[in-house]
Parts: sequence; C-alpha cells; structure tokens
Amino acid sequence: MAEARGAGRGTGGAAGGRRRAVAAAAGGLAPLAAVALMAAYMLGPATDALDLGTALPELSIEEVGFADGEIRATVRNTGPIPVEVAVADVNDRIHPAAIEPDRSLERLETAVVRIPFDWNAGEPYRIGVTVDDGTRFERAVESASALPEPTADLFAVFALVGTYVGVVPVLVGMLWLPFMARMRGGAYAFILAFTAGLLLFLGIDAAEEAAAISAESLAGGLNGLPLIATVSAASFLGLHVASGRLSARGGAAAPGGGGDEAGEAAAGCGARRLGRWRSPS
Amino acid sequence: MGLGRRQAAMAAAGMAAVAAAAAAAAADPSPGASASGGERVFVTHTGAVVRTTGEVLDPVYAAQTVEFDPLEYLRSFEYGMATELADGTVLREYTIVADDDRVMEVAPGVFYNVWTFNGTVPGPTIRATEGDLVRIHFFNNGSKPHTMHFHGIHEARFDGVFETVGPGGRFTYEWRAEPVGVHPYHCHIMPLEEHIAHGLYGVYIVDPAEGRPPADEMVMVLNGLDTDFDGENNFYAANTVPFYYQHHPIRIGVGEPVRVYVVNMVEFDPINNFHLHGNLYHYYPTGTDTVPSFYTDMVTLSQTERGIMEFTYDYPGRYLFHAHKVEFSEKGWTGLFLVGGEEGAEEEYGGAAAGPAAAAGQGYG
Repeated sequence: MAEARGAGRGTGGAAGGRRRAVAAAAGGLAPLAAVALMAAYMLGPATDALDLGTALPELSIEEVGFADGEIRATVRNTGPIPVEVAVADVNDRIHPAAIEPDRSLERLETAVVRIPFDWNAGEPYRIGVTVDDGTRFERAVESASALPEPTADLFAVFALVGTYVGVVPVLVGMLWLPFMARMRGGAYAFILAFTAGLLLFLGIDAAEEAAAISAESLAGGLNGLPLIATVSAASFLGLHVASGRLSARGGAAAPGGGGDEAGEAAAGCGARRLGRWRSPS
Repeated sequence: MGLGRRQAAMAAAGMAAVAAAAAAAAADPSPGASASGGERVFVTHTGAVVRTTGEVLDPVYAAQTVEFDPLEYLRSFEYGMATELADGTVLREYTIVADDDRVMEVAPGVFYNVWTFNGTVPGPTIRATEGDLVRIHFFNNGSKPHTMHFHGIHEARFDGVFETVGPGGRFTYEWRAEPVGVHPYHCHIMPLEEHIAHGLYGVYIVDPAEGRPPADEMVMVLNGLDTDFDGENNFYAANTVPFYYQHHPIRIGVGEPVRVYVVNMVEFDPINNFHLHGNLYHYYPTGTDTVPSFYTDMVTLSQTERGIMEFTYDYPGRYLFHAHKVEFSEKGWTGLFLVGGEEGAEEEYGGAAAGPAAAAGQGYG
C-alpha cells in the first residue's frame, strides 16, 4: 500500500527509494512477528494448549446488570470443555433463576442468567454460578446501580455530553487554524510534535486501559495481552489499507499531504471510543 | 428462611398465579416450571412470578428427584440378620461395603464423587437393641484404604482407627450394643476430613431393652457437600440432597408422636443447628437418657454431636424445619413437615404444573 500511496501522490526519487527499503525490511520482519505472536498464544501463561492435566470447567461472568427486581449475569464458557449451569446464587445464597437461551454451554458460548432479586442500590453484591461438576464461579460488584433505560431523555443527555466533549473542542481547535497557518517553521513543528505526542500518550493510555480491563474481566483462556497486540496490529493495518485505497481513489493529495494520516488518526480514535463503549464496565 | 406472614401470603398468591398460568397452558411435565409455547414460568422466594424463554434453575422449590431418595432413607432402619445364640443373646450381623469411585447427582444437575457405605450417603442406619451382639462384616471395595469407626463402647481392636482395611480387604467388627442412644459411624482413615466430607458416614441407633414409646421415627443426618474442594461447603442438607424436603415435605399425622434421630456430620463449619417451626421438641442429647434435657425449638450441634427430638403437632399445615444458621438453610438445609396433609399433596408443593392449591392459604412461614 505504501507503493500505491506513493504512486498516487506522485512523489518519487529519494523518498520513494527509502519507502521501498522500509517496505522490504517490513516484509522480512512480518513473518517473524507472526511466529512470535503465534508462540505467545501457544505458550502464554493463560493457554492450556500444551497442558496435559485434567481438563477443568471454566466459566466467566463477564457482565452483571441490575434491572427492576432482577440481577442479570452474562456468563461465557471460557474453559476447554462444555459445561451445564446448575445453580445461581446471590452473595453465596441459592436463588431460583432462569438461564437464557439454555443451560448447556459449548466452548465460548454465552448465556444470560436472570436472578429475580430485590437488590438495594449502592450495596455490593457477589453473583455466583455453579456448574455441573459443582465448581462455583463468582463475580463481585462493588456497588449495584440500575441499568440505564434507553429513553429519549437519556439520548438527549448523551448527545449533549457528546457535543461538549467531542464537537466543541474540535471547533475551538479549528479557531486556531488561521493563527497556526501564519506560524514559521520552528513553532509549527513544535505544535505538530506536541499533537503527535498527545496522540502517542492516548495510544499508551488506551493500551494500559485495555490491559487493565482484560486482566479484570477477560477469561484467561482468551489470552488478554496477545489479543490486544493482535487487535491493535490488525486495526492499524486495516486503517492503513483503507486509507491507502481511499487516497488512491481520490487521486489528488490533501493540502499539506497529511490528509490520510489525519483520517487514520481520527478513525483510530473513533474505533477506540467504540471499543470503550462495548467493554465490560 | 423465616418468611414473614406477608411474604408467605405473597408466595401463596404467586403460586396460585402460576397455577392459573399452568392451567391455562398445557402443563409441562417438568415440575416447578410450567411452559407454554416455549415460555416457562417459575416462582421466587417472595412469590414473584417470572417468565423465561430459557431454562429454569430452581433447586429450591421445583420438585426434582435425584438417584438418592431422602424420603426412603428417612424411615429406613437396618436391623441386620438376627439369630439367637445359646445364651439368649441376639446376634445381629450386617454387611457393609465401602466404595469411592461413584459419581452421583447430589443436587439437580450437580455431580459429585461420593464415597459410600453400601452405595449411599449417608450409609445405612444400623439399629440394634441394648445388649445385642453386633457383628459387622466390612468389605473395602474402594481404591483407597477405609475403615468403620463407631462411636459407642467397644474394645480397642474394633475401633476402626489402626485396623486399616486396604483396597479389596475385609474386617469384622464385633461388640455388645451399648450405650443406649444415637451414634454416628464413619471412616477413620487420614485425611479424616476428606473421607468424611466425601460421604463415608452413617447412623447407629441402640434402643433401650424396654423400648421407647411408639412414634413415627425418622433419621436426619445434617451434612454438607464441598463440591469444589475449597474447604467450604457449597450445599447443606438434612440427608444429603439440598432442599429435598422443601419440595417433598415429610408427611406426619396430627396428634401423632414423632421421634427424630438427628446427627450432625457437617465438616468445615464449627456448628450446625436445628430449628422447628410452630412447635417445640423434647431433646435428649446423644439419646443416652430417658429424661429429656430441654424443651426447645432450637439446638446447636458441633461435629458428630447428636440427639433425639420428640414432638407432636396439634394443628395441621406446613411447618418449616431448618438450620437457623441461615447461610446453611439458604444453601439447602431446609425442609417441611406436612401435618395431616392429604394424599399426594407433597408432590404438588412447588410443582406449579400440578397446581399448588394446597400451598395456597397455608404458606410456609
């Protein structure tokens, strides 16, 4: 894609040569990186691919939600064998419950356990599920609070918050544009470096957060850190390919030549927001 | 449990609602939950009626059975093969086989490797009369060493502690039945906690020579199951199966004397207890005396502590009995006496599909 993009922009000569060299080096390193990633999945501390011991059931309670008179737990079979859910409990006390769609969970299959329970807002709860071999799995919630209902009010509030944190700052930033356009080389480079640093910080922060969330909520069998690395690499490559295609189709380069990089950064930030929204609270 | 009157009324109302729902739809054969067009209905502690498109997980109220039948065990007594010796002594011979490889459904949907005497947890209730010669032919059919250690009076060589019986081995225990009372027996191989918690225990009753007054007699072993081996019990029960007598109430008569032989075999927890609703019982600790020590509705029992409870209900209805250590009762050690109930009424309780008309109006508080 670097080739296509370079051709699309009409750049050539020394810069093109450097790009070709980098591409060649990347081509040589990529298979090694793939092997390293595979080894991380196969031999990582969380994997049981080479474990010859007794296969034990594992169930992850990924989400706990508090509805009206009911506690809902999303469970996933993250172990090496199928399990049957037998008993649900709240604070280690057995309660009648329902499980949807059914109690038999194949590997990685999920179900929702619905426990009718008059929970109290602000109190901590431990939600437990016992499977057919008698093993109990638990997830603690620090403070119960109701799941938000999708009302018009809620959408209005979210729209307002989105405007404040997403739209207004961008507009304010754009007010700077005429001022920045008059800047000379050194100052302009400083602003660009500052922006790049901010984006880098966001990237590191996101990685840290991903690691924390995966440590807390993701079953060991899903290999949190290698999964983050894989998804990050795949997202980067996907965005790169997409932007290359787009700029090749568009033909003319954006003013300043940074349009596609800016687009990639924006799309990356958007993807991160989407990921945060879906991540277990 | 200790449901208040209001909650009981709500529960009854809820059950009546379920009965109506079930009657409207063709009842699902699975008890506790009725179904119509793929939707199932069940009732909670407080009487809330819940509908689901999935499956119901209800070991508490839904009448379900497993391989072991606590109602059958309740009133089963093994008197052994009796022969009269030349001196007039009655010899009672029992055959007990230990196993440790069975996986049994101990609660609906929960399977556990039980170690058993004669195939069940608890093992058979061995009963003799004071002065009888008791002879127990013990066979170890398991893969680990086991013994039988009886509480009571006997020679050291029959104590079942140092006389290890290896896999495939056998041993004969013998003694005069004494003292009068209710006693536990259990395997005494180390690690002891493991052998007991897996189920190698049972009840041994020695009747006084003159007998006890006639009564509806039953045995309750208070036990627990640590199904995930974390040193804490996941389930508790009277006679192994959690909540069993909750959805299969024990039928007794109005004005009929009842005698319960209670033995606490719970491991891991220091105490257990026994609370009776709507009544008090005369309590004979260890059953060794003929004069009761207490008239109470609550006794606390440590490990292998046991006694005899005698009571009579004057009023018909459903009466709870349960551990007042509520953690235990909410994990299975709870049940119901159905006093003066009609034939088949116990099958209806909790079985929404059958229409819990009997439950409505009586509640279970």
